[in-house]
Amino acid sequence: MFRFGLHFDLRRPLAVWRVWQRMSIWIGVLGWLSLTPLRAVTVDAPGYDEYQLKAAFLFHFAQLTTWPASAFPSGDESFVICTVNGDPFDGSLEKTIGSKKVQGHSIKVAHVQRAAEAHSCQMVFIPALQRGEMSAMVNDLGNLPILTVGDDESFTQYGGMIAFRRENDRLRFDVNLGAITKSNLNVSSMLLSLARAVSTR
Amino acid sequence: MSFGGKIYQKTWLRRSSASRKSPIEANLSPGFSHSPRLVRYLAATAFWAAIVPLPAQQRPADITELSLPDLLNTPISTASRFSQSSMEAPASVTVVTREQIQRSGYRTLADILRGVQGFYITYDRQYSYVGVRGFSNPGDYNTRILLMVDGHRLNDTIFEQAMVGTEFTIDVDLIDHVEITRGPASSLYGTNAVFGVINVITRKARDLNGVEAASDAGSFNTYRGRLSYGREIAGIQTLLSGTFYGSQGPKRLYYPEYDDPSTNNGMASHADDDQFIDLLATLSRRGLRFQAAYNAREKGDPTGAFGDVFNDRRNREADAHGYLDLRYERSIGNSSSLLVRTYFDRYMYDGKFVRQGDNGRVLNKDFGRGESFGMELQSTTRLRDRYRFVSGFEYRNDFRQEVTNYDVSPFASYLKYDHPTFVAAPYIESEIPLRGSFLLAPSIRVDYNPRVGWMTSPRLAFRFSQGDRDHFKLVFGQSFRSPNAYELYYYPAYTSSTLRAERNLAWEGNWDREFSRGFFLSTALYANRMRNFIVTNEASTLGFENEGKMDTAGLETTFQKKWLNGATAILGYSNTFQQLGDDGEGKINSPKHLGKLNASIPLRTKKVFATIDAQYIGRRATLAQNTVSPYTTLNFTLLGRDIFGRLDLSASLYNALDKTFYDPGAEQHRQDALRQDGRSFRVKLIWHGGGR
Repeated sequence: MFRFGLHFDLRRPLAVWRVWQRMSIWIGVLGWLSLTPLRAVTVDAPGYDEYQLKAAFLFHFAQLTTWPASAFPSGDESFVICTVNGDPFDGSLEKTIGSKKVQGHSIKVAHVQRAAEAHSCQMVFIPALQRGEMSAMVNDLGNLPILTVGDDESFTQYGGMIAFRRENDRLRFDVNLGAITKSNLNVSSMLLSLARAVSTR
Repeated sequence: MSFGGKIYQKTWLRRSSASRKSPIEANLSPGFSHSPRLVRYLAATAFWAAIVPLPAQQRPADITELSLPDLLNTPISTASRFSQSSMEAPASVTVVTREQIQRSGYRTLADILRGVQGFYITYDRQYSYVGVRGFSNPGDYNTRILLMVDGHRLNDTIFEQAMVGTEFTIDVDLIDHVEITRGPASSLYGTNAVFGVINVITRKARDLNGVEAASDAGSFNTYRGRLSYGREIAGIQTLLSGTFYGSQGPKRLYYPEYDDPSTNNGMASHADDDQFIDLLATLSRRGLRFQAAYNAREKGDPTGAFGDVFNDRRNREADAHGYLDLRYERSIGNSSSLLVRTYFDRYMYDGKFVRQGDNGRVLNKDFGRGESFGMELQSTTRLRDRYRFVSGFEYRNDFRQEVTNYDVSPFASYLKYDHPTFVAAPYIESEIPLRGSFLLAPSIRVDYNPRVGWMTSPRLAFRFSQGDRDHFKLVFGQSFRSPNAYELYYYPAYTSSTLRAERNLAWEGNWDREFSRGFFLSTALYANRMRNFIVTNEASTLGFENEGKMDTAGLETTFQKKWLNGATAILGYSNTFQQLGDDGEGKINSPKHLGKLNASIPLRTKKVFATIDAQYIGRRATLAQNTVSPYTTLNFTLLGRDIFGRLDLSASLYNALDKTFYDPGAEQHRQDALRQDGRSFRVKLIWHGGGR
C-alpha cells in the first residue's frame, strides 16, 4: 500500500478496495511468475525445429547418394533441391543448408508449384498430400535421376524413395531401394543401415 | 527489421461550426498511475530470478555438423516455426496468414484486425479506426499506429492516418500475411509507431503462377472484381493486379438525433455508397525490387458530420494514395548485408461538403495534397554467428503538405497553406545473446524534424526461454508522435504554435508456453503511460493542444491450437484493467473487456472448411458520458477449394445473429453513438489459372 504514497486518499474507504483490486492482479501475476520453477531448468538434448532438422537430413541424404553424371549436364551445375507445392520449410532450408556444398556442387534451393517443373532438380521434397497427388507427382518425375523425399510416412508406398516418419519427438526415415535403383541412383550402405525400414518394391 | 513505414493518418478536418463535444467532468482522484513502477518491480524480479541459474545449453551453431546418427537422436523442438519466429521477435507479435484470412472471409484489413488480440475497430461510415489495448480516442485518425506494406510506410503525410477499411491500398486477396506488432516501435520506425506496427506482406509472383481472377457479391449491392497476374517474365518476378469495388450501402440509415421534418426525419437515404480501385505492381529480380501501388476510394458520408447538411448526397470524401518504392538488398561477404531503398509517395484528399449558409446551401471543398520522397540505408552485420547489429539512416522529405478549404459559391477562402517538413533519423538495433537462452535486444533511434526538434526513442527487450516450452520477454520502450500538418495548421486561430510531440512510455511482459505440439498459450501484461497527447482544444472545441494524459494497463491471454487435420482454434481474452486519464479523455471508446474466437474445421476432405469468427467488445463510454452496450458479433464462412476444377468458392454471413450494436461517435458527429450494420452476406469466387 505504501506504493500509493501521498496520492492515496484515505477518506474514501471504497478507494482502498479499488486499489487492492487493481493491485491484486499484479500481485497474482507476480506470484504466478515466481512460482514457475524458473531455476529448475532441465537441459536435455537440444531441440531443433522440425524442418530445421529435416533440412539437415536432406543435406546428409545428398551426401550419401551418388548421382549419375547425366544428372549434372554441364559439369559445373549447382546441386538443386526443390520443394513442390509451396515451401513447408518456410525459408529454413535456405538458411540451414543454402550455403553448403554437396560433392563439390554448391546447393541451390528452388520452390516450384508442380512436379513437372522439377525435372532439373537433383532432389525433390514432396509435402504430405493426398495419396493420389503424391503418386501423381512421383509419376511426373518418371525415372529421372532425382532423389525424392516425402513428408508423408507412406510416401515410399507410392513410389517415393525416402519417407520421413515421426516417432514421438524423433525423426526416422524409410527407404524404397527399388525406386532408387530404378532411377540410376546409388545410396551408401550407411544410409540404408540407419533407415527404419528398407523396401525394394 | 523491416524498413520504412510510417503511418498515414489523415485528418480531413474542415472548419466546422457544429463541434459539440460535451465536457467530460469525470472527477478522478489522482494517483493510481503507478503501474509502471510495479511493472518495473515485476520485471526486475523476473529478470533476477531468471538470470541467476543461467542454464548452459549446448547447441552447435550449425545443425549440419551433426552426423546422421546424431540427427536421429535429436528431439524436435516443440515450438513450431511459425510461433518460433514470433516468439523470437523482441515484442508481442501476431501473424495473420492468408489461410486464416480466406477461411474467415475477411473483407478488409479492418476485418482482419477485429480478430487480433487487443485490437478493436470503430467505424463511423467514413473511416475505420483502430483501437489498441484500450486506446482509441474518437476524432483521432489512426495516428498512433504505423501501417506498412512490405515495409513501405502508408500513413499519409498530412493526416498521418493508417487507413485500414476499404480505403486501404492493397486488395485483401493479395495479402500473404499481416504482422501485427504491439508496443512501442519508434526506436525502429520513428513517429506514429506508438501503440503498434501493422506490416502487410504481399504475395509473391510465384505464388500466383499465372492468372488469378476473383469476384464477389454481397449485401447492400456490393460487388468486387479482381484480376491478377504473377509469373517470371524474362527473369523478373512480375506481379500485376487490379481491383474494382462498388457498394451502394444500406438504402436508408436512421439517426434519431436528426429526427426532424427539416432533416428528412432522421433518414439518410442512399448516402452510404463506397467505391474504390486498387492497383499493384511488384517487380523483383535477385536483390532488386520495385513496387508501385495506387488506390483511390470515394465514400459518401451519411452521418452529417462536421455540421454538414444531413441527407445531402453531395457530402463525400475521396482519398487517393500512390507510391513508388525501389529497394536493393545484397549481402557483403558471409556476415553482412546492405539495403538501399528510395521511394516517392503522393496522397490526395478531396472532401466536398454541403453547409447551410445564410442564403441556402453552400458547397464547401476541402483538399489535401501530400507528396514526399525519401531514402533509407541499412546495414546488418552478424558477428560470430551470434551477435547481430543493424544500423541505418532514414531521410524523408515531405516537400508538399498543402491544404485548401473554400466555399464554392459565394466564394470564400478559409484556408490555404503548404508547410513542408522533413525527417532525418539514424537508428541502431542489436541482438546480444547472453549465456544460455538469454538474449538482450536494445534499439534506439533519433529523429530530427524541424517541428519538434530531436526526439530519442529507446527500446530494450530481454528474452529468455526455460526449456523448450516456456518463452519469456520483457520489453521497455518509449515512443513518440510528432504533431502532423493537420493538427498544427488546420485551425491556426485555435492551435498553439508550440504544439509538442506526444510520448508514450510502455512496459510489457510476455509469457508464451507450448503445452503440446501446436497448442500455445500466450500471455501479455502491459502498461502504457501516455503524456502530452494531442487532443481537441477543450476551450474552443476547435484546434488542438497537448493536454491528454493517460495510463493504461492490462492483461491479455490467447490460446491457440492447431490440429494435424487442418482444424484451428484461437480463443483470446483481454482485460484493460486500468484506464486513467486526467479528465476522462482516455476512457472514451475504451472497452475493458475484449474477447476473440476463431475456430475452423475441415469438412470431409481437406478442401472444405467451416469457420466461425466471433468478437466480443465490452461496454464503452461515449463523449456525452453515455455508454454503448457490449456486443458480440458472430461471422460464419464456408470455404471450398478447387470445387469446380480450379475454382474456389466461399460464402460468408457477417453478424449472423443480426445483433444491433453501436460505436461511439466523435466530436464531429451529432450522433453520440453510431449504429452499425446488421446481418450481411458475401459470396465469392476465385479462379486460380496457375493452379495451387
